[in-house]
Amino acid sequence: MIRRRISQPTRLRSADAIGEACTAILVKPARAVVASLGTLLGVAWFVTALGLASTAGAHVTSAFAHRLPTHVWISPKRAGPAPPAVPYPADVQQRLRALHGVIAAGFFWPLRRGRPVVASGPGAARQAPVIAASPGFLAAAAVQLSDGRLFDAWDQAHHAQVCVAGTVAARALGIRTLRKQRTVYIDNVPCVVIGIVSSASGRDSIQRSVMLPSATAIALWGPPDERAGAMPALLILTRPGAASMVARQAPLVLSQDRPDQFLVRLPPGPGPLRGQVISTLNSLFYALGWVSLAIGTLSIASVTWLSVRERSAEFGLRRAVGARRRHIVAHVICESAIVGLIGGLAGASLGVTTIILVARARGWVPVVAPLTVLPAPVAGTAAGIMAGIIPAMFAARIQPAEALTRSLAA
Amino acid sequence: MATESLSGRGAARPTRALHAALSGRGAARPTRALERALTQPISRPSAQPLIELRGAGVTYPGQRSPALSAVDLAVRHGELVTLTGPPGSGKSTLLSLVGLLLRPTTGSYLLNGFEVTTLGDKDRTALRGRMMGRVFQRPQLLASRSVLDNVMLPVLYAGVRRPQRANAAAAALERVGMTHRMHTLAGELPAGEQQRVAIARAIAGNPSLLLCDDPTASLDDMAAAEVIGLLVSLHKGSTTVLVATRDQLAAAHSSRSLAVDPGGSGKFAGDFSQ
Repeated sequence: MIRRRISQPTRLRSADAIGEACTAILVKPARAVVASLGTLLGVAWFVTALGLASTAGAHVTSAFAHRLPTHVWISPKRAGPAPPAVPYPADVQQRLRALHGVIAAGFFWPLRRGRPVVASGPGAARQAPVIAASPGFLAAAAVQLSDGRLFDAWDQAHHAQVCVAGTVAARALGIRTLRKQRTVYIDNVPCVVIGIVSSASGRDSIQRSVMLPSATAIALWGPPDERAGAMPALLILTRPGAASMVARQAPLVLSQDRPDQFLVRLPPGPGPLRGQVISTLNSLFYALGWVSLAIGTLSIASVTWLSVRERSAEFGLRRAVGARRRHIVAHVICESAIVGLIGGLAGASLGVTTIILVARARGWVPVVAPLTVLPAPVAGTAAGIMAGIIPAMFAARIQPAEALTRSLAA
Repeated sequence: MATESLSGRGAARPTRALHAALSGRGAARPTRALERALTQPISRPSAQPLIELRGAGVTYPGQRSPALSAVDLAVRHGELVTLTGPPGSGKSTLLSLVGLLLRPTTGSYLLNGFEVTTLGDKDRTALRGRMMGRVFQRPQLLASRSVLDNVMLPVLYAGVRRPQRANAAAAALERVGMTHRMHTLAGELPAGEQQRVAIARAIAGNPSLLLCDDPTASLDDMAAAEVIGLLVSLHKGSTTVLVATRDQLAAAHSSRSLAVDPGGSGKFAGDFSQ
């Protein structure tokens, strides 16, 4: 039994609105392709830009990583109450090596006893500064030898009177080779030269100095003399990029009570520069992405506008047979939203493809965050909806009586 | 309780008992009163005119002289009325006025005894969609959509689901004898068949009022005769039909033929009240 309720407002089911919009698009696929082309390119550019930004960012990061600081210097602050002679815990090297990112760590201090270091052999007395160092320091300084060997834990344990000469120091002392045993005298104590340094990083003074085991130095001359300024310092070698983190953590490892008694130095890295480069790249890419998405929106808007003008008789007919203004608005916005969605989906695919091709061509690793790609269809749809608003308002204002005097084009 | 099959055939189409509603005329809430009026079970024919224009005139914006001035017209339920007159005499304007596509700039329009001039767009759209079917001079079909899709269009906005829409459209197509073309693209049909599809579209929603604006203008005599025949048969199914036409055949079948006179202030020479 159907009871007629004539004044019940007409309605358009949302499924029908989408269905009508889909049919209207399918009827004129070429128009939809043209309309979505702008969005497609816009979204593709956006995805490509963001993806290339992250890919290039990752690449820049890895390129800069080679220049990141890998050394951390720690020394006790001079100010304040007289610090203990060796302010570090006995197991300082083990503690530091337990930190993530630490490769090697060791301490050293310059021996400034006012006495020259004299090389044995003929000729005038030759001099070089002397450094007391732990084996860990040699490792942290990445000391490479041209001859001989480094001193090690055994030498430390036995207070062996051995030393390693830096390149410059060895030349100054007249030592070229260790083929025959060479002995230098440090404060009249004979020390056998067991190695000649070829390269070292971290500090130039290594090359100019003669280094002997710290335990030997303490056994011979006692702990480092604070007042002479011979304060032991720590050198830590870290993995690339870990230096700044290690620099924050190390004082706490050394002294949980007073981490502030240490002075931590980190060679200036390219960090801020890298950040600037990446953020400049990103903001440029973002800006271009927004511009292209805006162009895409305009292209949908203009095609939808033309389509609505062309189909004014159709919308007039729809109004005449019971479509309310809001139904027309919904219909038009559905159409432009679907076009935008198509553009968004196709654009996201094109964008990802472009990223992969570009990254491949440049030999980079493509880095695409899901958050770059997944919102792309949503962005396309949003662009379509925005593009549809003005044409939809126009379509809703079509006067059926007037529009129907024209012939239906569609 | 009145039942109306989608085909609209069968028992005599009832007209409305509007007296109860009429007593509410002038009330502040037109929509509710109108709804009550139009939802009354239809049990017996009424002397109340379905369409009643009282001095209704239309002046298009920006034009000095009215396209239609001071028309008095009454059409009863179940009448087939033809409007004749030369082009430009205001037939189309009159039909647009009656079909709620235009608002009268002067006078008033009572539809089913109810003032609809001042109704909001929502209610006027509802009346357009649910009460009226219309046929235009040109078929005005969506050429790239199927015949069935075209005929389903008015039912779409009745909020009917697609399967029922298709049933209603199929029934309407059967009434105009176009079932065999159901899945053809509308644009591929000859003009006469297109106009028959347009009539099917007009009756798919089972309207109680059918408005035809010169439906045979673009057709040859043969097709025109078919279309007139269809309208006459629909009228016999007790739909109220208002046809603007130059076709003498249509006029011959009508219960009344009213000449629209392009001259003078009272453009309608005839007395439409009777």
